[in-house]
Amino acid sequence: MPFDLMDRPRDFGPFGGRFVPETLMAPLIELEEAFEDAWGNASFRLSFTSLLADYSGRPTPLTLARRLSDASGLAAVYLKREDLGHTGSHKINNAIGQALLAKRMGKTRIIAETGAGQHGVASATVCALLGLDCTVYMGHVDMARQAPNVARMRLLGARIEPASAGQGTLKEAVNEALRDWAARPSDTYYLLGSALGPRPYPAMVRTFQSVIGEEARRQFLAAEGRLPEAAVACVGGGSNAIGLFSAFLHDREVKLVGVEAGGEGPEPGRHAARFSGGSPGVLHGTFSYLLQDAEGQVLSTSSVAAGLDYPAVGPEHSHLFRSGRATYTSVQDDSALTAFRRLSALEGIIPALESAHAVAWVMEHGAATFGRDARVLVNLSGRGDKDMGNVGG
Amino acid sequence: MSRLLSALTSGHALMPYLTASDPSSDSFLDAALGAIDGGAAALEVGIPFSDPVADGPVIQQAHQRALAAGGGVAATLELVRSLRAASGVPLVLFTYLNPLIAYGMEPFAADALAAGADGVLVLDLPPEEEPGWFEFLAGRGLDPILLDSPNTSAQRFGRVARLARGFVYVVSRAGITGTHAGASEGLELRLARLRSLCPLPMAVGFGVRTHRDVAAIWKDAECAVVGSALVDALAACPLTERRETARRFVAGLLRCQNGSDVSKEMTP
Repeated sequence: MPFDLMDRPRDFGPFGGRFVPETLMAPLIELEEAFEDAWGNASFRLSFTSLLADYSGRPTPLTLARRLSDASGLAAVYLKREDLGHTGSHKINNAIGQALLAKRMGKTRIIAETGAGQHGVASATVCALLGLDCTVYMGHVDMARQAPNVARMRLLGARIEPASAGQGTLKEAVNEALRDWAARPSDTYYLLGSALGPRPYPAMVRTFQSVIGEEARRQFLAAEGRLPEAAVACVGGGSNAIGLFSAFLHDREVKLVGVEAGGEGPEPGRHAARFSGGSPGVLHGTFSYLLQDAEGQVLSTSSVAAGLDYPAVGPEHSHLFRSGRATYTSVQDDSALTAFRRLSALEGIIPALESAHAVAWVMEHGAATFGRDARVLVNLSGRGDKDMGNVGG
Repeated sequence: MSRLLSALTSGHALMPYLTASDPSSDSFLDAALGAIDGGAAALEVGIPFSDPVADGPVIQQAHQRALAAGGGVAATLELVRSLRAASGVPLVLFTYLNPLIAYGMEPFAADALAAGADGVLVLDLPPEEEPGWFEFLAGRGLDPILLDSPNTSAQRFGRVARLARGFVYVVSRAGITGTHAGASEGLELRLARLRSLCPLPMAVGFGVRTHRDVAAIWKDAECAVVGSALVDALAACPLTERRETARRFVAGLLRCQNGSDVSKEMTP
């Protein structure tokens, strides 16, 4: 069809781009140039890697989960322990990188969106460290279900702005952050938390998160003398997954599996499985897979994991999906909750409900998909303390 | 010369914005016809979208009411057809990109033209990203409307000026619709700069509430755009009074056309 957006090359195959109101074009161009300049600068890179090591505690370990391996019927399941980084999730990697960039650009005010609160906590943390003013947009439903993170952000000195339109989750928080940025582009830096949104965010966030995959690949080789059969991660916007996958893209023998939120079931509005229930469209500045109705209105979503409860997916994942380099699947809420309990009981590791989706898929489908001799790498993107109020004992 | 261009070129023009199907098809038509009765030079018709990120709370709520009433691309084109049957006033479709992708970019152009639309403004389709569609529209006689915002560089505006037809939408301040009152400083210089690069009429929007705002814009630009203030006034009035409310509101903003009572604030 003429003018089909699929026909034009963008950042990741046909996906990505910069579909934003005119007011945001200049700040995005400024950001892209600033990031390229910073990433090519040795002292910026040193500041970044130093904070990752000395402040956040990298490298994070790779843990062989022996009892989980047995329970999954696999030779080995290794967990990349992003839950052990400072603030308890991989979000700190990107927050450190972008906050350093904001400081370098002379911005004084940081805004961020958050779903599960992990990115909000990471942003508030780094803003405290660097002396930056911090405002976090969060859906009112997410504020209620991730209350411990709201308290943490406030303690860290951030202002929380509830996003109460629509269904009051991550999508609405991004809407409000974009509106804020459009109103104050000169002094404000939008610290977007996932590998989505307009260029340069998807590639920039991947760059800051690629430390996950680089470490995991090296650690896996050291432990096993070979690469894993598969690398598995949950996919909301997709930053922990792209951070893991990025190190294995050229290792064709390593299968890449992204696990989306199957929510309550496959009916429209009850899940956040973009690749099985969505189609390419534009939301929040990027062309990517999107849950939408026939008229192009964005559908509501549902997931027990606030961090996966979002109708679009990072554009690089859409490209990996279309090219077949990665496969995407989903598990429903009940499976994720079971994995949350099982991993806690088997390994003494309480996973974030988001990460529990990846664990659940490996426990249920790993052996059948890769064989009982397979050695599988799972990104444990965050810890589950924040979820105790919902899940109970 | 396009209908839009001829309607705006002479200046002292007012272009009200309304979201299609807000809060129902009939009520939208009442308000639109009232705005035309009141002296609107052209109308902006918003296509409802679930996530209007360039809009403030007033127009966000209008989109929600419109979606609840079954609004969307198809319903909007039907309303444009009805308006065109009743009036020759130029109509500009004001939309986000995703509903057009779902409808199909080429079918949308054909159907919008057939319905009687005169121009299309896609809020989140900057010239760098558009797939040759603006030239296609212009070739068919549908004016692609592009924007200039306070932080648009001269280099980027050059591209805007090459692609734009009908008029240039000048965003008076950074931000979303409906949040700032009053004209912005520096507008005179900015418009002078834009005019040196582009011969089209200029329509200035964002934050227009009173006839004082309109008069200030008319000093430097052909057209003022009013959106949130009108949508707000209509949301507060009974459904049976919408046509008259819109007529009075628009006529009130236009009263300063002869410069007689520019200083008097209008209270809708």
